[in-house]
Amino acid sequence: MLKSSFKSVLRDFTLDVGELNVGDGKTLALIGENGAGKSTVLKILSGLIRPASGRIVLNGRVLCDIEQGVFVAPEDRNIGYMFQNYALFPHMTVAENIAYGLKARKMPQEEIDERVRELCERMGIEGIMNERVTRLSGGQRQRTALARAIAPRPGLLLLDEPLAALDVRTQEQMRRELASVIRTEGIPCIIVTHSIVDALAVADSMAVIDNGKIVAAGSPEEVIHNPSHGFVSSFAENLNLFRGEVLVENGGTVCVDIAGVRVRAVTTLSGTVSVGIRPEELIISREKFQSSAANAFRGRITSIEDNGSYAYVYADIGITLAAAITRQSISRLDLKVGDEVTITFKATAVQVFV
Amino acid sequence: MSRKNVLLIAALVFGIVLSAFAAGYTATPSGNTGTAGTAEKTVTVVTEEPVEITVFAAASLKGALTDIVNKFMEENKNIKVITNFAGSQTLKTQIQEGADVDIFISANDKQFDPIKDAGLITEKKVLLTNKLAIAVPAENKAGIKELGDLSKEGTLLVIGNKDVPFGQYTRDIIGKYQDDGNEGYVDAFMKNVVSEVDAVDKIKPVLVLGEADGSIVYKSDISKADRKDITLIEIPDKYNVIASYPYGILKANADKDAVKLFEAYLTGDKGTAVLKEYGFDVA
Amino acid sequence: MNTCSIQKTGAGRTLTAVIAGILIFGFLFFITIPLAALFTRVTPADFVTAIMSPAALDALWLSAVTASISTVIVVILGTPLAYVNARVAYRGRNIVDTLTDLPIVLPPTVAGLALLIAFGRNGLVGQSLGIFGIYLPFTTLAVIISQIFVSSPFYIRQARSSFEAVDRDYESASRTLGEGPAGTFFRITLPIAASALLSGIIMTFARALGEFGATLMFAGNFQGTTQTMPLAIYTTMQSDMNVAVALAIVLVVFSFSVILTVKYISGRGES
Repeated sequence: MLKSSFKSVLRDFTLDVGELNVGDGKTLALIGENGAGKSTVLKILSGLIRPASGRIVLNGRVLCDIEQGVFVAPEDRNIGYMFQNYALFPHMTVAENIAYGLKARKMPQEEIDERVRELCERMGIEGIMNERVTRLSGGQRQRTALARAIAPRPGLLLLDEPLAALDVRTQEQMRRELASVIRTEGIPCIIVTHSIVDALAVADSMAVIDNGKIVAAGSPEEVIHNPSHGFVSSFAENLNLFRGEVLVENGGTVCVDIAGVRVRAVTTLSGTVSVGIRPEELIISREKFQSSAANAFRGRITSIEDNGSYAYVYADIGITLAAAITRQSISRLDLKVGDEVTITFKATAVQVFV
Repeated sequence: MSRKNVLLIAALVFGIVLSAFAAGYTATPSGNTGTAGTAEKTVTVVTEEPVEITVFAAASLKGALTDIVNKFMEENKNIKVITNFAGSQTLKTQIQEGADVDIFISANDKQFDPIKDAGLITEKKVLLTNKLAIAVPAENKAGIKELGDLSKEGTLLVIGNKDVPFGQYTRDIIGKYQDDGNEGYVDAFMKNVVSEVDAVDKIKPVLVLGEADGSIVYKSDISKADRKDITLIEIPDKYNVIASYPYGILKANADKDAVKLFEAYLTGDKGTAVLKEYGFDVA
Repeated sequence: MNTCSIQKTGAGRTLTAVIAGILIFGFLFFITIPLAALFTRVTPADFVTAIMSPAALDALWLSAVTASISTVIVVILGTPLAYVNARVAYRGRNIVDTLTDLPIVLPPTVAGLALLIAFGRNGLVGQSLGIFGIYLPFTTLAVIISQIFVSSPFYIRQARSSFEAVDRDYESASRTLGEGPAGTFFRITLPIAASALLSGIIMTFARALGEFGATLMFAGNFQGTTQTMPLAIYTTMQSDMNVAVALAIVLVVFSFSVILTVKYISGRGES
């Protein structure tokens, strides 16, 4: 159980985390845009940065109490930290990386070997245990980093953008694996992400941070569907989040009815669910797109929002979907507001959660 | 763009004008001498034109000889004395290789005699003698008063190495001193030596800073300016090595009047006075 | 028109290649010739005689010992400073940096004089050392001090940039995994920076080996105690050219093989 509250003065703003708690075996997703202060929160919790004021208590142990002059060094906090770039030690093999925290704890070599082997098997990386980490693929690095962070059985696990460094295809698979590992380890966990979809895949609760302040917190449903803060609602809008009813069609395919629009998905859930479709997964075409994708809808473009190299194209197909496409594609397709287009996406691109 | 061009053209024109002037200036006098030289072969031409004489002298004479040359040229405006100071060995080699020299002053016979033996010199004469002396820091904390004090235990000595003349002479001196009834002196002296150097300018700083207690150097190496920091203690002649500086006029230029004039000045009262001032003994 | 311009660029490229080739080989020739010339000056028999002479053997031994000790001391003293300067932004860091760089640009004799004034028996520090009977000038220790003084910037500069190149996240990760600052430094930072540090160490060793001016001034020149190879070369040049050349050859060959070996080792480590 983590209980914390702290303040820290950053370059552009003051980080003020009024209250940030994670229950035993629970996962908190900390979401917010780049530069909102998410990573700083993790660094303060892990002891890499000393806050200006505040108190951090993990499982009844005071790790930091600035007013009382208590500050436990990061190495003595027993908090696992997975860095965004993974920070795998380049001069070591996969096994050596995973064993690192165990060695630091002076665990007997036999036990270290056993724990490393067990973790590698679980992560499916036993075949590359003796490889230098510089030779690994993105997914292998992610698994190694995760294994390294959880190897010493930390009291709290911090994951900084665990999926950001992966390509889209690997992300999908790793998202599922991550959720399963977190659940089986039962370690309280904070996952920092700027993707609500990632957050929803793993989190029990959610906190939205903006400009150094937590602007919304609660269960994912509460946060997403009661957008008390403008930032959250815009966040949710861009990410195509909806509530819907699961309908089972004949032949086993599952459909989610969202305000009358039926979207095909892959899920075992039933009843009222939340649905998320990442804007990058949507394909826009002028004519009907010939593909195996299960979902294809005709609709009109309601607005185009330029975001630098990417643009969000909003199309009304009964519900409003946002598609993220490159500006080049917009000019190539000559897309304008009011144009009729086809929107296509796969069933597996639809995230379904409670 | 046009402004740049104007500047460029101006610079070019200026350059051309300048070089034209320069060419005219250099061309005129050389043309004149040419005609004068061939037309009237008289002595006047020689005296009117500044005569150059070249003196090769041992590096240790640099201070003294520069003074003498300047004074000499002050009195003889039509004579220009060119000096070349270097180690005697270097000078010897240069002369052997055919350098155009009028007077050669060597710091020792060893480098002088080959030139004489080669028949290049009219007559070998001795310009001056140079003695060695004990040099100590002005404070003289070690309380050195004579040669015998240099062998006292814990005295730090920096001396010339055996390959340079003053280092060899140092060894000669302490050898003679030992032979004069001072058993074990050389060993005790050499035990005190902490550094052997190739030139006196590596000894002076350590004496000035008081980091060494003493050395044996040429008297002439300790200049007037040095004497406020470094004290010289005479070494009796019976131990001392007296170096004589031989000089000679090269045969090729023996009949040059200017050379004779300079020789007379150098060995005369005025020259001698300067040499003495620099710590040399004039025979 | 078109073909013409293509030919032009082709010719231009050839010309560039020829000029570059001339410059490259010209430079290599320029570097190689003086070194090769050393080898033509002595016969193998003379070389052996010369190198077995007491002056040469003393100088070789003294140089090897002093340069090694100096390098070790520079690494021990310089590493913490280099690391702090790489990692901690404090007031006056630039001044400290400049100070540690200074010996590079200082003429060696000035360095020698400064050392003498500081550590000589009448010196600022030397006077106090004298009370304890410690006397530095004209000792082997003075040789080492001179070498440390002039060679330390080569290591500290290189070490600082090597440490800067180590991603801080590695250190942070190590800390969160339970390793303290010292353990993190030795198990993470140092090994990652190792090959870059090694090249700094080599440069430092080479500089210490070649140190001449400051040694001559502060440590003097005495066979067996303070006469290192460069001093021996300088001294024997006046008496026995064979010994000077033989020592020079040893210095060249030794430096060449050390640098080559290290390049080989670090090159293999990287790949």
